[in-house]
Amino acid sequence: MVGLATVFGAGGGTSSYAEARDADVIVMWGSNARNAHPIYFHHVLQAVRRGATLFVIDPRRTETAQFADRWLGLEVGTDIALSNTVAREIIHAGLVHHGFVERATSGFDEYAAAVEPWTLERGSEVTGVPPDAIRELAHAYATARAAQLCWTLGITEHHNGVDNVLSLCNLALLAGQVGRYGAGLSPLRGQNNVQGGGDMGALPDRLPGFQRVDDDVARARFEAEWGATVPPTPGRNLTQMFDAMERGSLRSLLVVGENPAQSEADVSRAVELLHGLDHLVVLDIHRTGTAELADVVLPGSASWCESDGTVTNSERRVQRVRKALDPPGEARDDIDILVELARRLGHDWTYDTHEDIWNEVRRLSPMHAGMSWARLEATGGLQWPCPSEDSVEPSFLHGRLWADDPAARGRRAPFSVVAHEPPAEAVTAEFPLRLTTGRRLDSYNTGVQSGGYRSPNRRGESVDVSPADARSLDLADGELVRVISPRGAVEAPVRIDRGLRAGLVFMTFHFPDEVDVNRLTIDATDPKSGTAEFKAAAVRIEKIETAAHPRTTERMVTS
Amino acid sequence: MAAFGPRRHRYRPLERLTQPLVRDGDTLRPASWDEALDRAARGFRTALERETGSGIGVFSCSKSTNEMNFVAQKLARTALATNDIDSCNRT
Repeated sequence: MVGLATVFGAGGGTSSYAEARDADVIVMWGSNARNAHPIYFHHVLQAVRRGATLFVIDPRRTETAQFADRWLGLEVGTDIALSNTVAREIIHAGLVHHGFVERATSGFDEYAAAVEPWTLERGSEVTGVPPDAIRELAHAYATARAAQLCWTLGITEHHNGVDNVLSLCNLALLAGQVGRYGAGLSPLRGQNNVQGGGDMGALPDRLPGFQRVDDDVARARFEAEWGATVPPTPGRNLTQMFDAMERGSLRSLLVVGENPAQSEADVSRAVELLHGLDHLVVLDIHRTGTAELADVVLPGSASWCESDGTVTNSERRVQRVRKALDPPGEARDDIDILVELARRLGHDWTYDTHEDIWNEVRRLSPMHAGMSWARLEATGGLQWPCPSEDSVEPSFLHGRLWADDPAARGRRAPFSVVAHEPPAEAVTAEFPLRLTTGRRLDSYNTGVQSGGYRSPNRRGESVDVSPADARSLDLADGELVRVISPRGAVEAPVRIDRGLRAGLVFMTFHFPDEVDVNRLTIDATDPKSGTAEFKAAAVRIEKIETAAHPRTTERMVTS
Repeated sequence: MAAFGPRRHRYRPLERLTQPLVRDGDTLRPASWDEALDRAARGFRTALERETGSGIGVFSCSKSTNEMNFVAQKLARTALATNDIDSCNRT
């Protein structure tokens, strides 16, 4: 959100899913979409079948990489080094889209000077990617008719995640690969309504429709509609809220459908802080680890089948979800619960239907104004911006940057000078391995929802190690080992993965009840976004010197 | 049974929360909606009356609907008088 908003003014992916099918170069950077975004990946596969070239940039040779024409296996946390090297190569090979750069961007000269030291040789040294592979990526991306640059949490879950995003935006500006059909920047969101949650103002500094909370004019419109005052200064993001708990300046918390007691980086600290609150209220559909710590637990609804409303996907498309079932037992619709809570705090809101709420959104957020529920039903979904009921905007954003009329082009998109910085936690003699975390196809986040279903694909948690490390540490496939970071330790069976380079180990966070991997991760966060560096911790692996560790005798019931 | 057999995920049937719970010492016990909502509201009211600043935060849900997220931030910004609201959607 922050990165794209900085460059283009709107915190959303610039293209539509269907456009990926018509791209001739697709770059998936820090994204194992085959596993983590299988629906989007179907669009990518259609493009590949039509002859598009697929580059996958990932420290691991993932399932996504197996479909790629080229896999660039960079070292964890060297994305900016790679991006700057690609940029220098595009510049030196004379492949810059000068027409676009001159008319629609700013800051090119400073940017070109900043990437100048990043020769193919230096880039290769830092990233571990061969020079020829970097050159090939640079030329393919810059000369493509239409290139899609996609990323996921491999880019954002770093202490410098926003800089990582900015470094990718730079490449699109350099090559003119944005603001046209098929060419764009596509961050794939980690949950079905990540985009919508932000669009609706569930952010500390933004009211619905990305309007700034410290903009007096915007805030006054909300206050008039709501008949209540809104605090004028931006609030704290999730990471800052945990820091405030530590200082004692945040002592009450309402948690809706999140499980921070199991999903936060450095989770032992998170649990301790949640435990120390004066007042913790959890609204959820399951008795999560966070609910166990609560003073009050409110049983809510499953939004995809027990509530009427809308969600917004990674291509900014707002779609209807419809209520098919009543919540079980005494559980209630989340919205009714929040409205009841507001009423008891002296704020009486009258909504006869959830459509009334949506119409309030449309009155307050210009980019949603044209999306009536009736129109969403009729069209199957509409993308923002949609300011008027009479029109449909193009499927891609920022076409204005290509306009002939300078007034229509609007604000220039700035290049950003971003410097390579290694991960916050370096590997050391004591912790010589790099741990990176992620998802697998059959499971979802902390497993609250997916852990309750059988899956023939599920194999439980493991610590995936390279064949070389398995040899040097004398580890056998399936052997239970201890994984230790400066913050904590967990036990997990070894799985030898040929897709991993020496020195790199991988775990998921899907099975916190069995293996609480976030005891290992580091909560070094990005100063601009507050996102934690789930992708890079330093660990060591120790053998467990006992023939019959009691827990190893447990046999799995599933798969 | 292998001594070092992989320890794998244990299938647990999904159990939905079907009634409100409130804390009673070390345990969570079932409660009526009225009791649970009153207690939730009372805790926030106490925080709002604190002179040193309320110190209330809200974590919202990226799986839930736009309408729920809109109402959650409205609750935070008006009834709970805070902009300390966030969810996992920032970078």
